[in-house]
Amino acid sequence: MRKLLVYITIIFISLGIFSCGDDGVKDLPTVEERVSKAKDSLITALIAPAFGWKINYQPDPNSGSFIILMKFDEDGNVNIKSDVYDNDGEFLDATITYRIDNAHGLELILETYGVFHYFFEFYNGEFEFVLLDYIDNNPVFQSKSDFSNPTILSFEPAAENDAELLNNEITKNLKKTLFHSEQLKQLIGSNVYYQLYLIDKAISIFITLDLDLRTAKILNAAVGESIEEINNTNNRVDISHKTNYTIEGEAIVFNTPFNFTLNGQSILISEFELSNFQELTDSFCDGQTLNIGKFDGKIGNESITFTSTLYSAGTNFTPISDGSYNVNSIGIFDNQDETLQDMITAIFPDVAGIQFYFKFPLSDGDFYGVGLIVVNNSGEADFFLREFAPPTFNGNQMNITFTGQTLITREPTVAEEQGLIDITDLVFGSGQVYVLEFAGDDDGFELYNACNNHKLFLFK
Amino acid sequence: MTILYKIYSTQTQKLKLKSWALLPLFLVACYPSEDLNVPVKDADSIPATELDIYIQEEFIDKYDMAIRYRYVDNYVNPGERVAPPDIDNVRPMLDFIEDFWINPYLEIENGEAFFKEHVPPEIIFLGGLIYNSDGTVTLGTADAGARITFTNVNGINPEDESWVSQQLNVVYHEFAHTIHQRYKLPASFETISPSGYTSSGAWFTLTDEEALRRGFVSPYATSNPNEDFAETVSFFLFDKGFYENYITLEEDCTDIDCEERNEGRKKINQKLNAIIDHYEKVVAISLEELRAAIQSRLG
Repeated sequence: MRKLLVYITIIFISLGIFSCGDDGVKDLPTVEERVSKAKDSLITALIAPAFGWKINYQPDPNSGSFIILMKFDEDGNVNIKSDVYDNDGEFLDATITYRIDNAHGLELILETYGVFHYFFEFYNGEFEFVLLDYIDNNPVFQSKSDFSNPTILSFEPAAENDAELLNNEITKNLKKTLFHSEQLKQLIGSNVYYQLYLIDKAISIFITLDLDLRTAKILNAAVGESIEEINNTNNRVDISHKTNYTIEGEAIVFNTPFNFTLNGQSILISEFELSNFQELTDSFCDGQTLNIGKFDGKIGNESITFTSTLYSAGTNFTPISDGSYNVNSIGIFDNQDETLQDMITAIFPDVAGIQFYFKFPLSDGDFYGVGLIVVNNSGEADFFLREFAPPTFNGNQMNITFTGQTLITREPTVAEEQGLIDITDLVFGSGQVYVLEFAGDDDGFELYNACNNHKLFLFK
Repeated sequence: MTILYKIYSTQTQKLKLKSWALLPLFLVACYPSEDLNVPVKDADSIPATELDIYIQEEFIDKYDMAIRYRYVDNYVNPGERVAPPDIDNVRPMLDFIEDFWINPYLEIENGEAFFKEHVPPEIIFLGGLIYNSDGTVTLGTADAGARITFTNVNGINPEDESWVSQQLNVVYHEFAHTIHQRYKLPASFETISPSGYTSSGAWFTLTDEEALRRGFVSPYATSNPNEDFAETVSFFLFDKGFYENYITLEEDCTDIDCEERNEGRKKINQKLNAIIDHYEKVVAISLEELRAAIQSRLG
């Protein structure tokens, strides 16, 4: 037995020695070869589909999704088509370079600037992706640097007609309905109010869309089409439904549908189609016009119109009993969307912010006032507030009448007294502002003076 | 190394076990060696485009200077995020650095030899700005004379004075670092305004005016003598109003602020003279001639 064990040992040792020779495992590839093979396999997979890949990309958990078509070639180029109508349309159809790396696993790096980099710079998107897996031979990537909330990018072979899903006309025309300039967009996003009018049902639904993030807030609905008709009928319902959306061809598709009942009709909407676009004007202040955009469209077989507006049938701008709406001194803008901060600081060098008191309880009753808070070098605050009567509302039209009284906590100079009046008149001088909400933020509001196009942003 | 040690230990342990355990051990031992230094960034393996050929001929062949415009994450520090350049902006950016950085050197005496001898082997283009956690923005970087990084290439607009100034400040500043890195600072340079330097990371709390009163061309120059040297060279070369802003004394000073600014200007003048002499001495380059060549291009 002992002899047998010795023989077996010798045989095994010999096997081991021979296995180190040329005829052993010489074909086992090196790391470099294995990496190269894996990269080649991924490139082969990426360039395989005849019409490239279709991706439904959601750059941020709080944004909507974007349909993107990608067609890779073996020379390191990728053609990317999207319906993102920014940077003068450069992202609609662009070819950039890509690279497959091996660092944290196989990585797809989009090397030069394109739509993914635009998302990266402005909307928490990504342009470096790590290969997670293949599902049915289709690569699945994960964003490389979003450690807390990685985005999954599932590639699906595109169909020949998938390019029809990218309706650049819709996105371009929606952009034309923006009331604000690009510079203001950087601060508050691309929010626009729309009136979705169901023609047969004579019902208006008011929606605010963030055109860049593709988020929506369905605000309310009312019977009637014109502001006068809606106010006269006074049959309205609050909806306050927030959802992301995707643009698929001519359709705006909500991630979560909304429903409501109004005038005895139960209405459920998950998407609607847009068609003919017209640039028109409307008036939201006597004697003044505002450029608006109006689409025709359909929900199923029902005709609709979809029109940009300042109006909605209600508002969530409500009294605050334990404080005020506030913004820092940059938050008031003129008709060119330039901040009036310099004008304010010229009169109030130590201004700390703008405040709007809406039914704030004081010992002698509720207080309504708007103005400035000034903090001196010692950290002491003084208030320069102009009082107004309790505001009245027609939908989101807020009517304000100043009482002629002020609440000022130190002896003001003549310039300060006049400055308070001049500054507040720029927004409230016409007696009426439209209170606009943001699609993705329940605490922010824009008070828009349609008579001079000045605006004040306030936050809870 | 850690992985290899663990394998060795396992083998040793298994050798003490029964002989039949030897077969798998030998198989393990005969695996090809795992070289962990596998190159993971293959930016150079991509087929050359017209742009790449242009870079090869005009920059690599002429100056041994590679231009990197395709994104590689180790071009920035861990935690920093920045987008790459738009490919349409790369050629205009190349033209820009050729016009305002390379060609002025070619025009002046000893300039071409100096440029070829000192140019960093790698230039990085980044599309956006690098925003830092302390609220500052990195406009550009240089790594020990080996690399200069340009940011905000996607903002290219040679008609925009602020963009032009930013880029020229970056390249002249970073290129100036090669001088003190190779030849040290001018003698006694650090002693001209020794009390003006700021503590680590505090430079951005100063205003331009405060920096001037301390004897510096910018708040960033107060970081340390090396940055002071590079900023002074850079401002001297690209700033059209350099003499007016930083050298010429205000006349008829009536307040302490004016007097302090003039004291600062005297220190800057001392530094400038030391720098000009240093360039002449160590690399035989006339900074004044170089400034004239650059200013004639800026118009």
